Amino acid sequence: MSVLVGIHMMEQVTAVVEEYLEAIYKLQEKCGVAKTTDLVDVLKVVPGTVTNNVERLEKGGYITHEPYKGVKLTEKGLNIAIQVVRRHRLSERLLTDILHMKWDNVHEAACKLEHGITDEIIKPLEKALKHPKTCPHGNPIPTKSGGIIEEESQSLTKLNEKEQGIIVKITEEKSDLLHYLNALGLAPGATIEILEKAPFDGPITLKVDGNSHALSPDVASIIQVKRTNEKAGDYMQRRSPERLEMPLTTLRNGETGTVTSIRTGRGRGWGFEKRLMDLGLTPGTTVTVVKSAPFHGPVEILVRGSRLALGRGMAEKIFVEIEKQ
Amino acid sequence: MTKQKLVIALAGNANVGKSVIFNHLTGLHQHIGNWPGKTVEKAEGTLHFKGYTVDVVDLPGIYSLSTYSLEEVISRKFIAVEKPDIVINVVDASVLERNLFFTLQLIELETPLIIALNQMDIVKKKGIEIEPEALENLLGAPVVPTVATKGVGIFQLLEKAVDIIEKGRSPTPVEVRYGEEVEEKISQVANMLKGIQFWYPPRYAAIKLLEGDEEIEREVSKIDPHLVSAAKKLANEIENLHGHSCSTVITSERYELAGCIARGAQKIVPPTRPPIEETLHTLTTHRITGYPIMVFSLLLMFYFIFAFGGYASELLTNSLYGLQPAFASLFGTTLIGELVWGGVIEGIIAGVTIALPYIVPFYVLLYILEDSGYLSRIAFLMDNVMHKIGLHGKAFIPMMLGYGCNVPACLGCRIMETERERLLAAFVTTLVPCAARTVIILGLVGQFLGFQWAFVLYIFNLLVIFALGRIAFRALPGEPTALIMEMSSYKIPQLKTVLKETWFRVAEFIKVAFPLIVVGSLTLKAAEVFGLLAHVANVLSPVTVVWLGLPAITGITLIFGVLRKELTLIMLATLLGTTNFAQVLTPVQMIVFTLVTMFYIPCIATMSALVREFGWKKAVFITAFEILFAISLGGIALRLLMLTI
Repeated sequence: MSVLVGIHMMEQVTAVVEEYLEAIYKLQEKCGVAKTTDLVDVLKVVPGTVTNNVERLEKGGYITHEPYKGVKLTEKGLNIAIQVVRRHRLSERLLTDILHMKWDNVHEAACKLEHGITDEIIKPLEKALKHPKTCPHGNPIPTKSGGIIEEESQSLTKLNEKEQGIIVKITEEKSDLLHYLNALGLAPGATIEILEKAPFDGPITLKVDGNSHALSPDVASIIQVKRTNEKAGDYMQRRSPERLEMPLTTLRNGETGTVTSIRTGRGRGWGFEKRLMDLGLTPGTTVTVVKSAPFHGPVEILVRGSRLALGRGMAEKIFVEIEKQ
Repeated sequence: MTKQKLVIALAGNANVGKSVIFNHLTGLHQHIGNWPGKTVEKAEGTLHFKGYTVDVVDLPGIYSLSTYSLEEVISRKFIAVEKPDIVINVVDASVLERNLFFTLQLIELETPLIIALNQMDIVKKKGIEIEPEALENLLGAPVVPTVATKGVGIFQLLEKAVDIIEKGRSPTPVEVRYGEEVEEKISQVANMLKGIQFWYPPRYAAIKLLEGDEEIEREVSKIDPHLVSAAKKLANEIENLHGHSCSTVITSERYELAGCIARGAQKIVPPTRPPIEETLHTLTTHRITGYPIMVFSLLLMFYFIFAFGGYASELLTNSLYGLQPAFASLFGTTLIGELVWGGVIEGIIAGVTIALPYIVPFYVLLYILEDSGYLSRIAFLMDNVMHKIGLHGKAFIPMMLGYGCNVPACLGCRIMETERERLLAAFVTTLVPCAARTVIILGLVGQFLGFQWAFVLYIFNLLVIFALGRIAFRALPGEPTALIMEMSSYKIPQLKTVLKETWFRVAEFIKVAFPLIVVGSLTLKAAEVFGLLAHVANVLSPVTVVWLGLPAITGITLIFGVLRKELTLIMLATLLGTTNFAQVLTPVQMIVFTLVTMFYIPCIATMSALVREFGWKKAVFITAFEILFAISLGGIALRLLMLTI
């Protein structure tokens, strides 16, 4: 029932399908297309199984497969994959924030956990975690409606000598590599400074927490940083739950918030984003939620003196900051 | 000035009273058509003033001049390309800020402008005080306060508009300036655009290129694609600087200015007691009281339509058929005479007596609901339900229209935003039992099997609509869009506007439906006269007799039903020679017959509306699907009913 409330209609699919779609999604993000050989590597199964499953997925309309090129997600497959990624990253947050596990340890456990997270669980879970925006590795958590807000970042290898940056995210999820990085203090939010870059793709020496380490360009390339001169503390504070951004739908009747962003995500919702802006929902505008229609109906809001009705799927994509007392 | 012919365009947000002003200006000299090649309506009218012939064009109600909808593109092009002598920007004074956002875009288009500050009466009730002079000074454009519903200020508006045109130069409006970084980029792009022949002013085109406006990008890239990529690069620089997309930055800053002007011109003194409109809004959208009020209003509406329709229909039938003897004496009982009477005139009479008595009151009530603002509240309440079939609340409006007649309902699906939703909504509305099908449901099942059976059929119909709508929603590629709708303050509907709208819709219906009715009934009459009907009944008998278990004669009536659904019943009575259907049909046959007529085909007028809106292919597909569906359903129902009874 509540599955149908969002703007995408989700079908119930098996854990295997989810696992495949997730893997394809990640490969696709990295290289644009997922080769079956890469899938064999990532999923750690024999090639025959992958071939069979890819065929099944294609029949189900989740992917398109071009021989010798690779597979691509369809709109339907993409929507499911994004939701799996969302559950995965929220599971990781659950493990780190509430169960206090180490961030370099949670990926495998979350892989199992994600398939058990039903739509009944996900809402209270997200609330308990205070609507986190990223997973412990720094990757963005897709919103319920499938929007993904990538924070601007670049590979560590792009930084020049003497430049400072803050680690935004780590794109690899293998635990041994993460253990290693964690041991060096290279976690999301840490400030680094490039001390030396050896020529011809040699090692990169950097300073973190007052210690210097050398990293191979391969390892450095999975670390995404933001070039900055601000202190790590400022950055984490900006991301901390004190200045919480939340979907408009989490406001109670009569509550007022300030619009921070509209996340229709991935280009396809651009027209609606523009429409909402034209109706006055620009960042920084105050909106008041008057009420919402029963059974997850539309939301009535007041903005710039006019009264608007927004479908719930749309209202979920509008993020607001609650005004402090 | 020697120019004797002037063009005035009315522009503004939706629900600001534009059409009321339009009606005041043009009186009866107006016509509504479509923009060439588009499904967007174009209202035009003429008036004579101080020796001028003034053409007034009522542009569609829009919130912005971007490319969100066809309406926006059309309005913008009209202003930029056709260059009306002046644009009257109708502004809802009670939502000043948002309306001024649109005004600022008109100013950016560098069009001569005059502001009609409308709904000044509502403003007072809302506790807002506006000084028109202050607004005039801040905007640098003439402002005329109006209360269009009472006709206040309309003459002054026209006088001032013509005055400005005569002087040849409108006052210099306020400069819409953005932040320094944005301004820098605008002038860079504008410089690049210099020397290029283009409809839009260079500064406007520059702003739109930075905003990523698709239409202008397309036009410019025809001239020089490098300009577009150069502008994109500059837009990215702004994005990097502000952390929001360039179009967001520009929209925000434009709104900032609109807010600034609005605050400068108005004082808000919140009323101590909420006005009655507010209370009414709260009640009609309330989660507990909202639904009963809605159900009650709709029931009342349908009761009135059928009570009035039945009465008027009988009256018209009696008086029109009274002409038959006169006609017979004129033509005798020749073949031609029979064809003309039975084919042409009877077709028209049926249209006049059966369709119009229901459609006219339906439209009157519908536009009263719309004009008052209640329709948007219904859309708010029903959004959730409509979402289950992939549509949003606004689709409930054409669906309701469908209960009156499917033809306007299909045309009414234009209010949906995307092609996909228009098609989906139109498909669903063709399944709604229109007034004609109601005649069959009530006249056959209701009369002979009891009201409860008719009710069961209605509920079953709703379930089918829901199920098929859901399947269609899943089968059609694309994504559902969410509701984004303004709920403007409740207003007392204007009878004149309501009647005018009704007249246009009825005229549209007559234009679409009547030629078809005449051609269709002539064909059928000819078939009857030449004795082809019995053959048809025979050919159809495997379906009608074997599969559906109906008398063979129903094959003929079902074909007549293509013309208009209620004809199936009327024909049945003629062919069976009795109106006491209980003598000739078993209860099961009645139900099967009604079920089939309920779903089997959109009538010929609806089909032509579908063709007009969606093209032949889709119209044929919907028709073919519904025939197959109805026949399968009828057969299954027969077998199930035989089992239970």
